[in-house]
Amino acid sequence: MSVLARSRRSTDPDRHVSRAARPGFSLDLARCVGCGACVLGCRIENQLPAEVSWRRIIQVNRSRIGGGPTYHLSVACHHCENPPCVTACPSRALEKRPDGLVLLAANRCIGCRYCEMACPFGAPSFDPDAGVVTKCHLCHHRLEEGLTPACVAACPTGALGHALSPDESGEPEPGMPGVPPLVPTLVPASGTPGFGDPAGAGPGFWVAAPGGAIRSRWYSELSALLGRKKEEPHGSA
Amino acid sequence: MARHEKGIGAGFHELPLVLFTALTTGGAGVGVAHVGLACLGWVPWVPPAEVMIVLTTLLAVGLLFSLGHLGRPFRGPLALVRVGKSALSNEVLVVCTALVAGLLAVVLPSDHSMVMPLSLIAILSSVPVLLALGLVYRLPGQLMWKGMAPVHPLVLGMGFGLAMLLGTLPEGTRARGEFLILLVLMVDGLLVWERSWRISRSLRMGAPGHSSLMDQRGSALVLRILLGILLPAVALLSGWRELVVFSLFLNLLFDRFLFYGLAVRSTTEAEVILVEAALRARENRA
Repeated sequence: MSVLARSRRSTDPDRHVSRAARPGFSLDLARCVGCGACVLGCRIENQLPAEVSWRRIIQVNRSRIGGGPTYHLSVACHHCENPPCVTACPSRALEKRPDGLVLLAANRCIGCRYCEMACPFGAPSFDPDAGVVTKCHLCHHRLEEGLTPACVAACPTGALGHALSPDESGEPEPGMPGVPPLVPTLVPASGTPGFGDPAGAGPGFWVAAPGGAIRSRWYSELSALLGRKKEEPHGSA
Repeated sequence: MARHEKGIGAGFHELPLVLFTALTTGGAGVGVAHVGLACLGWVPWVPPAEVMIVLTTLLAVGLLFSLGHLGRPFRGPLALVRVGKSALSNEVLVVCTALVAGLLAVVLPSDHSMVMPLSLIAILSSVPVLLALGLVYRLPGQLMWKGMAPVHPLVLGMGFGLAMLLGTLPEGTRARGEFLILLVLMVDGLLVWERSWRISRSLRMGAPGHSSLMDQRGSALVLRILLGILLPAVALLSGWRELVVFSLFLNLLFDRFLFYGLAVRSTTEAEVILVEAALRARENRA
């Protein structure tokens, strides 16, 4: 299923969410080295206390089992299409904006942590000092100034990107037959080994297909091993 | 287990929720048991003042404990703004309805015309209270709180409520009341068995919120069966009614503690562990 098709699926008309706009992040798995600059950039920009983190890095296949590659998943809030946290929130502190951003109004949060229990990606983080939950807001203050989110700006390898739908036209770049594209193709992260969407939330998280034939084969084998359907690549970074 | 730490949270922050759900289950259980017995024609529909006092006290103390879990307790009333949309708002609404009706029925003079309808509202709303307590945790990413977990508060509350009301039953129906409690204990046993089966299944797909407790789950579930099923059953058969009530109350607390303590949820970290386990299995086969 294409990214655009995913974005059109099950969009709640009551929320008046734009069908094309899908805010989120993209990650080039071949480029991310797990340095943690994104975590630090987010922490500094948003002045987060020590016990709160909106972004984290998860290492996949740390011990290189089966001789396969090791890669890193830099994850934060995915500003899901059907966010379980918004559905769960009893005080309307969490809302999905018309532009697709899932934002938290701290002045309405009662600190019940129900969103923490509902989110399958571990995005909401409770701040014990403030007594409220906090989460990534995709640095919307920076976006309004035409800047990228702090985590994206801090990434030294260009692995992390801020993405609306990777290709809003819905059609992949034609390219030359038999010649791999220079720019890596983005696919929804839900088809990537190590990243599942068990709650059907539709996370706004896309990853670049791994480079090289060996890596590609390894990923395909692993996806088959896990019984996952391979997502159809769509759009370009 | 460090990779599991992004679970429900470090420390047992759910303790106020354990107390809230246990006490509310107990209070509403008394109401539900009274409704059940009234349906059978064993007791009159309008509950006696003692029943209303127990119901209201347990609900009130439980609700106070729930405020202890909130980061901003003074914003608590905001939890009612999404009634009909958020399961937690629904839960707060039905608990408050039962509590306010019960409280008014207790404080008004016994000959006041509103006491009877308020008492009926309180005991009848106990049924949705117990259902809401179960359904509130039916979240898509939570693996342990699916299956039969949402009906467990209804069964636990019914057991405790029947034990509390056993003394108020007429002599002729008391033996049948004891049989009902044994029946409820058997259902509880089946639900505990289903839970232990679900734990082993969930651990293959998700991460526990409290790893240290999860490691002790075998002993914890055995203790749960001894304390919550065998002890009250033996006490009931030997006619020690106070022990039945006491053990079933402890059982409420212990069960809710295990409910939160043995929760398993889907996380990205758990997905990664799943991938690595699949890789290891493939390597071993090769």
